Amino acid sequence: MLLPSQFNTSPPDIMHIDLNSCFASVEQQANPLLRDKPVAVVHSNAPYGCILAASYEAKLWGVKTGMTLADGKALCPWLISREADPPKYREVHARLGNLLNQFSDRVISKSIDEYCLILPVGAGSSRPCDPFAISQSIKSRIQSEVGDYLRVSIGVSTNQNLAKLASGLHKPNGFDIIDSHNFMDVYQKITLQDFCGINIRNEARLHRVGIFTPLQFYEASIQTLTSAFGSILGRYWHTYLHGYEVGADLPAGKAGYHPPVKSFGQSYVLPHPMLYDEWRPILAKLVAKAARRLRAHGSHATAVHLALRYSDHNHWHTSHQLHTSLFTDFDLLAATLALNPPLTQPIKKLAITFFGLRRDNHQLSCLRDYQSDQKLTLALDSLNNRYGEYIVKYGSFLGSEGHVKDAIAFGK
Amino acid sequence: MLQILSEPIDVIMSSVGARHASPVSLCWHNRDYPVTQVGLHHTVRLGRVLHHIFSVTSHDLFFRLNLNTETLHWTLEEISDGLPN
Repeated sequence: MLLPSQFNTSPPDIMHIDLNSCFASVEQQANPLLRDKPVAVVHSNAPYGCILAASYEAKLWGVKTGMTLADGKALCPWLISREADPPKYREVHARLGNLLNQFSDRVISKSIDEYCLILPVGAGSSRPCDPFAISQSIKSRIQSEVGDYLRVSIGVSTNQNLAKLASGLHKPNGFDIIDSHNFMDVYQKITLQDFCGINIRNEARLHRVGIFTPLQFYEASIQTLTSAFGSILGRYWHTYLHGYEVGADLPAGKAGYHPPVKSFGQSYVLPHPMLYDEWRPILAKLVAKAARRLRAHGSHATAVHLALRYSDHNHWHTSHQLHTSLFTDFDLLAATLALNPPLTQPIKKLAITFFGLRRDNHQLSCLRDYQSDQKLTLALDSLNNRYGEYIVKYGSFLGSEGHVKDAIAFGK
Repeated sequence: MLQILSEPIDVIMSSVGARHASPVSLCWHNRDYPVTQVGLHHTVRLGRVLHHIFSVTSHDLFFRLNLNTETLHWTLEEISDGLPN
């Protein structure tokens, strides 16, 4: 990899669009009576329910994502809570994607509230279109075509990481460019943790090699960064900070584009610590949910990972690579339970992942009729697709009612 | 205050062009409520049945209306005055 020594001088052409306080804004869009009021979208409307998003009015009171509802109400007694309604957020996400597709033919969804696009080249020129004009047009069309209360922050730079950083500089409804003319000013005004990907632990790694500010981070040599991160991340950060993209550019494609899937997983935080007999039906439901996504993708899994977090914050996890590929709920649950999780301690969080995906069909066996099992499973999936989720369910789900609701994962 | 309901409700819709229709008035408990604002319209598929969800306000009340496209029945799912519970 050729390492840059100066900041990228090419015109910024990558735009990052971030829907401000996404879930809370969509709730305020849907219900105009909630506008200009402190609103928190929660996973469950109980005191221990986790706040998934806070409106800007709630943020002014110090309410933050990740707090419990009880903590949020302690800070802001007037806080209005609403349970998350994922179909609403997906619809807004899809409408936003359709709108952005009209501005560029290279749009990628980064998460439920973020899109990234490459600015089109201006007519009769080799330079990208004016980012400010496009951002103003995007903002006004979002308000007229998606929702009049929705605001987006837009950042433009020469790589995705800096474009995301730019989009967060002035929230809500901001617009910023980071390029070779102003990157030093921006780096002087921010902290290390303002970079997407630098958390407390990565910041501590940088501190250990004498990097305390973004400017020092930018000026650090590749050797220093490699020793700080102890991996190729050091090279990546050196490239990002100099305004270059690492690896592949944004793929060509409309907003429906998704990168190749490598695994399917589900996790669930239990409402209170539970022993094995209580959480086993929930595990069965999680397995079935992940398995349906696996089958909808047309894949089989050859490896299983199970992670448990105990009420004392310790955790246990293990995985196993199998010789055969798994497709049915029954086989996937059996493989998960065969990981022999410890059964004595109450747990607080469950997470399963199926990976080692294969597209091919199962090897025929003279010992077991796998094809019949697969047909039966697909028939059950069809019934649930047609008449609604969990119309047909397994006996192993008994006891899991009310758990594992539809949710939107953080991240991609 | 938010109240979750599941009650049948009468809704009058108006359509503008071929692809846009929205509620203009609703009748609940023998009382008419003119729709003053449609906040959001989204769809949900429960199995094969498509449901249209309209989030609307009538002055100082919010209503969440569900149109089942198989039965063409309207259901009132939520009512709220926009204040904390």
